[in-house]
Amino acid sequence: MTRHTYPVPALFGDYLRAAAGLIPAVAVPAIAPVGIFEATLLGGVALLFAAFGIRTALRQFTCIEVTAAALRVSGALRTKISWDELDRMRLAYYSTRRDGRDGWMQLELRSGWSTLRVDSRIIGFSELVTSSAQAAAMRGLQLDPATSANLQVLGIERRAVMAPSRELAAGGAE
Amino acid sequence: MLGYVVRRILIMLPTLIAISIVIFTIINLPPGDYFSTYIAELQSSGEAADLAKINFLKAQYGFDRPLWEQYIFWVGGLLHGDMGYSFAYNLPVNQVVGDRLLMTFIVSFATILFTYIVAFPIGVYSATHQYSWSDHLLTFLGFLGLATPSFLLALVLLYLANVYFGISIGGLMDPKYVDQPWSFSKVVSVGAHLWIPVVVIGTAGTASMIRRLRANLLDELQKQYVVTARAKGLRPLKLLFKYPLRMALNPFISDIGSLLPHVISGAAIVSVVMSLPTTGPMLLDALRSQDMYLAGSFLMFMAFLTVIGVFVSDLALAVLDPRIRLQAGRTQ
Repeated sequence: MTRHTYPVPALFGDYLRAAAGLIPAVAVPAIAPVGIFEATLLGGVALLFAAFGIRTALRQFTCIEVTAAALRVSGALRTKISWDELDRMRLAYYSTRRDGRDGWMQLELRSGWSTLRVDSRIIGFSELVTSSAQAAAMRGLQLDPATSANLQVLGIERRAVMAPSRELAAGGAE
Repeated sequence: MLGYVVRRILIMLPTLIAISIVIFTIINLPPGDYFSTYIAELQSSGEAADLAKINFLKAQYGFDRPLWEQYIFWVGGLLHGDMGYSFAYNLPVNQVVGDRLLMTFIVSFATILFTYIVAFPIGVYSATHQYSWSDHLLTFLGFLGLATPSFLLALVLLYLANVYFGISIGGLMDPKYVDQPWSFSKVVSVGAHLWIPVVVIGTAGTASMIRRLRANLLDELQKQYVVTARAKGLRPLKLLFKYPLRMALNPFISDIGSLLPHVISGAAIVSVVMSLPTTGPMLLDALRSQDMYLAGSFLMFMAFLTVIGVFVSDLALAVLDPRIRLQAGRTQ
């Protein structure tokens, strides 16, 4: 079994981002009256950054446990994804830079109504992706071209398909 | 995805602040202001200027204050939806722009539709029939369209219509409808005049999009997954629409960034040549006469739309194709 948590220093930047968006979006209409269009725009921005701040706080107290049979999330948002019920796996890469550097990845796993999104700052992200890719391979899930390409760049897909871990194989056979 | 949206918005804010500083600085670079030009014009024609009114306007809009204070005043107004006052039109900027905005929207959306409707099938056909005589013909026409400046095409069409058909194709409607309220006959008149500016403005963009779509689709069609799908016996049309065409559409999505400001600004030079009542010529006049609030606020509005457009296209690309794309062949 492996445990994965977000390191607090990695989330510090997200707290700053949430504050950097939320403070001006609330301060501008508080200082002087604004029109209906501006109020709607700033209100939307404030809601977005507030949601981002809340999500960051939830992530700080989230712990993901990966076993041979399932992936369990403990913390404020509890969920469980059994590997043999995995319906969808998506690995996306995002970067705000034109040259595509300094980006981050997001792994999305879905099983029935349960969805889990994890980003690459979590401790042991590559192990998490490897386990997910192995489970997806064993389930015969079709991956979209972007996920396949991202897995290939990480050098995970081939390993996952050719040598599924003994632990996961045993779990999948249960 | 939420993290991506938040980061992109945080990048937009300093970008907009930087653009506003650049716009304000450039507009204030020429010596004097709108009032000094106006007074000089009146004095040269021997007329007396209403100095009391001019001083009142100068004080009201902060022309007697330092530049940084004027900038704060202007940006503060923009944040509260006040785009300022056009001294040339003697109207608030919102009203001056509003009159022409509808016409600009009509011309620009028709042009965008024309570009997509024409470029899309031709680009796909050219790529799937590479090096056929029809591909060569369409490529030739594409290069011709790319190489011809829009205003030149407008001048040629105006000349030909006048010499051979004895009609004037300038404007967006018959002259008798210009100051009339909207009616069915006015709509018909606009419809009858619309196709000429649409073809003139849209030709270069259409040709460019055909070339890009053809090149992208050819790249995709030569990839291994297409060869594998062909070998497995997938029907050609289904194969084309399933992945290669979707991947080749990325430049169309990227173009959203430039579409929004284009919709508002219109093609300024073509509008001047064809006497179109769009916002392009108005912006040129405002810049020439140093009508600071009209020019500055309108440019800022266009910059805002550009930034929003790039944001939307980045978002669409991130949703549709979130692959690692690192330039210079580096991966991480």
